[in-house]
Amino acid sequence: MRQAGLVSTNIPYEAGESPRATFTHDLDQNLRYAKGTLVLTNRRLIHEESPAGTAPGPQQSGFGAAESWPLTEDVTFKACAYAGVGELELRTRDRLLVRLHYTIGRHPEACAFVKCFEALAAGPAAGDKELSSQESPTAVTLERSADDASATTMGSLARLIRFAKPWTGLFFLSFILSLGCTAAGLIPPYMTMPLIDKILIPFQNGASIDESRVVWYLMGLGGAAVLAWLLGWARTYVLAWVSERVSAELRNTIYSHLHSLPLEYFSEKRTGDLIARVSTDTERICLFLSVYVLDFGADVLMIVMTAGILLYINPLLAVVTLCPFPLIAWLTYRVRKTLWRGFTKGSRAWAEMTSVLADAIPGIRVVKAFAQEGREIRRFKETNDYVLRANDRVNTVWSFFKPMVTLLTDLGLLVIWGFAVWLIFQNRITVGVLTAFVAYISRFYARLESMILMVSATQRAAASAKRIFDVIDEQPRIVESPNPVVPGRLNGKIEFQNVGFSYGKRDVLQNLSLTIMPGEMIGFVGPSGSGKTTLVNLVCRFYDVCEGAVRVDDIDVRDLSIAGYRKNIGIVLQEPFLFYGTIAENIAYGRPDASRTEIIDAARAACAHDFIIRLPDGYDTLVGERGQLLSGGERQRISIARAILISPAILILDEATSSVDVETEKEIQQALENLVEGRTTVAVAHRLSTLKRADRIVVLEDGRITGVGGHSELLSTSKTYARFHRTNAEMYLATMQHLKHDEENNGPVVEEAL
Amino acid sequence: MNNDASQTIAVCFRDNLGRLILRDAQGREYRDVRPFRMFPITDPEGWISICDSQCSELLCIESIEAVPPESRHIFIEELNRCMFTPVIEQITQSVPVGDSVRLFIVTDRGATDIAINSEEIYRLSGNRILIKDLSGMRYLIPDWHKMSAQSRKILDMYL
Repeated sequence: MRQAGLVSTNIPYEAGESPRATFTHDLDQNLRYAKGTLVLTNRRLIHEESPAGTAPGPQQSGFGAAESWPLTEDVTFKACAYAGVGELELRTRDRLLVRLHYTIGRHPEACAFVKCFEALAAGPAAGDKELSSQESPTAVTLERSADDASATTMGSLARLIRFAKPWTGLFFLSFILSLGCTAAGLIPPYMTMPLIDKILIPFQNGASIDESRVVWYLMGLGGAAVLAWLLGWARTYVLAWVSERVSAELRNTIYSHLHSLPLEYFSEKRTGDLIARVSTDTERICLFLSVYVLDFGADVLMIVMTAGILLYINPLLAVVTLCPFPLIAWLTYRVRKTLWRGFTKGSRAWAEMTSVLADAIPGIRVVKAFAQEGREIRRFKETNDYVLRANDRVNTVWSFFKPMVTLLTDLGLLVIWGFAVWLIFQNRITVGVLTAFVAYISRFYARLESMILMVSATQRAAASAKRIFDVIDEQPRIVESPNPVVPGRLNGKIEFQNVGFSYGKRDVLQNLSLTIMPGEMIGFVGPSGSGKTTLVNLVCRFYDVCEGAVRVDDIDVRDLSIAGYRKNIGIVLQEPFLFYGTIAENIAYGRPDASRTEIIDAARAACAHDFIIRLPDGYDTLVGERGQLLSGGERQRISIARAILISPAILILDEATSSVDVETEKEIQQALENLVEGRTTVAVAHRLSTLKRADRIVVLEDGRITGVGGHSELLSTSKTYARFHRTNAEMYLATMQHLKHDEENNGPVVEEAL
Repeated sequence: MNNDASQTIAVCFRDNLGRLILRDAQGREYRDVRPFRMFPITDPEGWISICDSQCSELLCIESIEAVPPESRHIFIEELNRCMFTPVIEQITQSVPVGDSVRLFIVTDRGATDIAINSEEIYRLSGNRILIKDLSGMRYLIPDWHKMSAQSRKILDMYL
């Protein structure tokens, strides 16, 4: 689709001129799809409209109209990314030379091209070594995914084999059992043949019968039935046991893989959808494996065996009997794709429904407060209707298809009766042969029907498997380096070296450098969106930097083992998240083996001990998912205790006091001070009071540091900081006055509340 | 923020660098201004915010009609320059390629083909559909019930 190397053009190069880089843009001035080529040579930048654009329009100026601009010093060239479109702008100091547009997927290439341009403009020699590096990596990856055509729906089912591998022996056993079971089922019809021909019909014709043979035949029939039952029972048990394990393993794999995925992934996906993938989709696969997969194998064999027996008894009748079979096979083939689509749709609709639940239930307070129950019920009903519609469509196909197969089998039986009666009249077969045929053929088609059920189950499972493997194939974007340094206890020196970071196309941090000494407390202030939380995310290595490096104790964080590094980090977030469990368990979350003494010490240090012991169940109090039982300040103190317990070298306070009131903040303050003691602390704060103890405060604006220093120093040097301080002080005063006013009117509110 | 100015004349022209210059009713000039769509998907023609180079709002226009005609096309040009969400008019073919799907589409910006992941087709309210391709480009279908039978059939496979 895109030439990786230099595009051949009709450009007449001057003597001594050679092309250095090319870029194909795919939009014209009016943002319509049309290709054009930019060629960078050691002397000029040349633009050529594609002679045959993908969208011929009036703006197409026929054959390769080329314009060019010499590389002079006052020319600037830059690439900008907007919503869905990128723009290359070439201008001199006072004049716009040209603007070219391209779809956003080409932005990395455009940036590489601009870099190449800058290098050449700075000095022709410098541009030479850029040449090889500017080949775009995105073009290559796109190319690869396009070639990877082999993975089909069945492909994802085939990948399940990996999960079945540990149980190969048992699968084989159940297959043998399955085979035995079907074979045992084939014995009775065969025995009816001599029973009728040798005994019943001669008896009716007045011959005497050999009673021992009758008993012998009946015992054979009974024995075969018992054998089939025993084998069937064993098979079902073994298979159910194995498939439960396979699907459990699948659930574990997908869930543990989810934990390796970056935060970005979770912000892109809906919780309900992910839950549906881990739960419903794996369950479907379990069902598929336990009920259908081996039956299928056995069915195929059964059908072959039956066909063999039929042919052996009477080839002519057998051929006639099997007539409808190709028709059914063809029908099945036709319906398969429709079913698969239907099931994929069904799965997706189901996930959407789960998503609505996962959305509304945690938000139940908001729903109730705004009296929007009716709307939420409607929203659920809508997605539920969608599930209904999706399933209805599958059922329409299915309900037509299944009776159709039954009709065909019945027709098959009719054919046998008609043809066999004719053959009997001709004296070519006996009545016994007819009964055997009828018995076999009904089994044959019963098997065929279950095989067809298998079609739907397979498609359903394939759809589910695809959804599961979509998650498993998602690459963790934060990868451990091949030879990670496993840190012990870190000193906690943090260095940002020319750090640049962007979320997608949006630049958040630019060329930021800062060194935080061990044991130092640094506060970050700045307007929201200035990149404070991003910095914190970089320190935790929730994301990797785009440019530059974050170094801890002089080691790049990307070289550290992730788990080993994060053991050194304690974090207190704005919204304290408590897991379902006891308070003690929540405090010991980062170190489950902590002793009671340690837990209590941590709680004491976090000023949480006093309120915990006053709860009826003390440390054993169960707190729910959202810890509704406790107040905001109480929950925050538990999360501080959680951070204290692991005694981290690096402590992160991400707006730890923002969501609590001033009174509660005072309570937390002491806890925080105990926590900060002797650790490198990175605190993001909206309230300056949280940063009282900070050694240095960093003012961030638009991803850049605009001021560093102590409180008083910043007051005089940073305007933003001074403004920030003023609003903080005003707010504080207002609250204090309000509290004082309350106190005068109602007595000491605070004491009363305690 | 002088929102009342939306009723008054805001004249707009370009300088040599192609940047927008806004002159308000009082004759004050603002260099390097940028218009933004406030509802780029649900109401691309209405509610436009004009910001200065620091991204603080100068003007808020409820409808582009409020702008004098001679300035209007400059605004529209500028708005279109920064936003590219092709509207899919037709889907002619879909070819599964590995785990992704290649769709051949006709948009209001011409025909093209895009590689998408069938998971990234979003049903929005009122039959609207948003498709994100592998490179993050977005494509919009304002009402998929109004598409041709063939396009609907293809789309339906992935909905």
